[in-house]
Amino acid sequence: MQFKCVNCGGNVVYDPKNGNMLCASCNSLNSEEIVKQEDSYSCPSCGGKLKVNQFTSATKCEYCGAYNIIDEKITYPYGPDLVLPFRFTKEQATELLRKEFKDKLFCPGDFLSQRTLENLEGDYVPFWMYSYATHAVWDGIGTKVRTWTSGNTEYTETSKYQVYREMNINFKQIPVDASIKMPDNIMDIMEPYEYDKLERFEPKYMSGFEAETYNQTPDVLEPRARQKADNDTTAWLQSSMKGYNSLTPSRREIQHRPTAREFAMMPVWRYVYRYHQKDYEYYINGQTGKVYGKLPKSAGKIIFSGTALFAVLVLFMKVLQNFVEVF
Amino acid sequence: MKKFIRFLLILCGIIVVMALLPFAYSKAALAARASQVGERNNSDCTATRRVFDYADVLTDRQEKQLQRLIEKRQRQLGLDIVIVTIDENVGSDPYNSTYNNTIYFAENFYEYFKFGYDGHYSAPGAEYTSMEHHTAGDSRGAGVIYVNNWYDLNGYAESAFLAYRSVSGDSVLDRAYEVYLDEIRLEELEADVWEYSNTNPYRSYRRMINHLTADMVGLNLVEIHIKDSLTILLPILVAVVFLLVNLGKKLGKKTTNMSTYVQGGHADITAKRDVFLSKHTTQRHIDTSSGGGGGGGHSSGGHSGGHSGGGGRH
Repeated sequence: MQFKCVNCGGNVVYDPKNGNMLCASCNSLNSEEIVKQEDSYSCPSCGGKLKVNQFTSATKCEYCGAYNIIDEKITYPYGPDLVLPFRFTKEQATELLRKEFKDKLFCPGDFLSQRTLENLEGDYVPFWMYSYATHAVWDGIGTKVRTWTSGNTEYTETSKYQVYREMNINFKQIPVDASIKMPDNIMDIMEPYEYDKLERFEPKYMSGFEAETYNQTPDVLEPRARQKADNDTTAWLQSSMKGYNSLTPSRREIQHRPTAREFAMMPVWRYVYRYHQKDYEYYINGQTGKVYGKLPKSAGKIIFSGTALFAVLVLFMKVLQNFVEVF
Repeated sequence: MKKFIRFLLILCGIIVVMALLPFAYSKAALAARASQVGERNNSDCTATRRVFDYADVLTDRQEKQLQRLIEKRQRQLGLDIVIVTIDENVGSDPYNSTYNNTIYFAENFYEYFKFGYDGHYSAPGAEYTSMEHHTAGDSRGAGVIYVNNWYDLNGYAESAFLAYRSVSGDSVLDRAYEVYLDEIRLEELEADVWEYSNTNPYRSYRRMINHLTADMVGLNLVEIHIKDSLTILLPILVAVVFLLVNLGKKLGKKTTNMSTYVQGGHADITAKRDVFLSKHTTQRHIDTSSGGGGGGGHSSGGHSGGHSGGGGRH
């Protein structure tokens, strides 16, 4: 499917700036009509073969630049329940990157240049979101130790307690990314998203971006969600038992009862910069603007900066040394 | 690059400020001391020179610079400051460094010119006879004399630093004499002077004046000597830290916590019990063995203040 402008026939895309559909050719607002192609994997505008893999649900035609949505991948059983629309435009994402990296000294000269920023693409990343009603029990021995000194004697008093905690926690929408190409640890760092902006899924949000349906089923990924819930539950238990010097459990039970499971698309800007045959990847949360990335380092700049700093300081110290002794 | 230059300027600015603080302090301290010191009052001493470079180890320009510095400090400190270089055996035994005859040379020199900021008093028997002849006594006249003997005594060279108390008994003018009764203070001064005595005599003598000045105004803040090694090591350290800090930068940290995905933002605690079971107390004796007192120090006054012997190799 493709969104086309009823006025000019141009490609209509979702504009994060004002939350409307915008014709990229004539700037008309909300002038879209849906055009379906007979063959899901061909571009309705130019007929070109779309470059897709088994998970692609939205992509840009590499021949005419129009954005296409693959019908089969947005309907049952692949269709998302929810979508968090992009809030930052490509220009705003570029600015966020520039702001983060403008003061970094050792970046290569063409890092974030207009040419390399062509590689910045908006991706809707598939996420499974798990909700649990969790019940946790902790039973065991806690000790409190108090030490004081009187005269030449140091006293240590150890008090022992039977500690019992029971709590209920309602976890809502713990996200786990279902994309193989997106690194799990980085997707975890991209969190949190503002869930109050979640919308019921509509294909229009995907026009203008790349997207994938889930690469892995919810059953496969659930252990990661349970692990996150376990970690948070443990933190809640610990926070309720502050003041003890040691805690030894005799019983520790954490039970997660699934209450909901949803499939959502989350917005992420992704920029790949190639330097010395190595790819450096940068990610921006398309809704909160949080940036992740490792600096590429220019050996020339490092050597120059280190040497220049050393030379200037030596010169400066020699002048200062002379000045101080002459004062 | 702009940021790098800004960083460099800020760094240099910090170093300058750190160096200028003690500099400003020294200015104030010297001004305070100068206000306590009157005009020079010694009609017996006709010498206007204070630098006597008989060994010819200084250039004319260096001599003039030292002379100017001494004239400035003399008025601020209330001390005649005399620097003498010689290159002759003044009677010392090359194979026995126990007796430093350069000290006697220094005494005679001071006596001969009748130095002393507030006049000169020659103790009976201490009058100058000849440079080769040893004189002794309790002569006075606020000032210091440093004699650097470049004569090679079998790989060893002598120098002498003497401080004289005032004729008037003024405590301000007597400070140099009092300070250098302490052998440790004297050794500190010598160590400073000897560091460059072979390689850069001018710098070495300038250090002597600076060290003396610092000792006269109390706190040693005034005496900042930036060692040669520091001028290399500090830039290396700063450059390494700078590179490490900038190389290690990675953006993005985990910003979720235990309540991020919890509905309502908190857990519902349904049962909470803390039942006291038992208590026990242990005790431990603390050893409080007291340390012994240090050995008593002692100092002895020379006939004309502190004195030193020995010196660096030339």
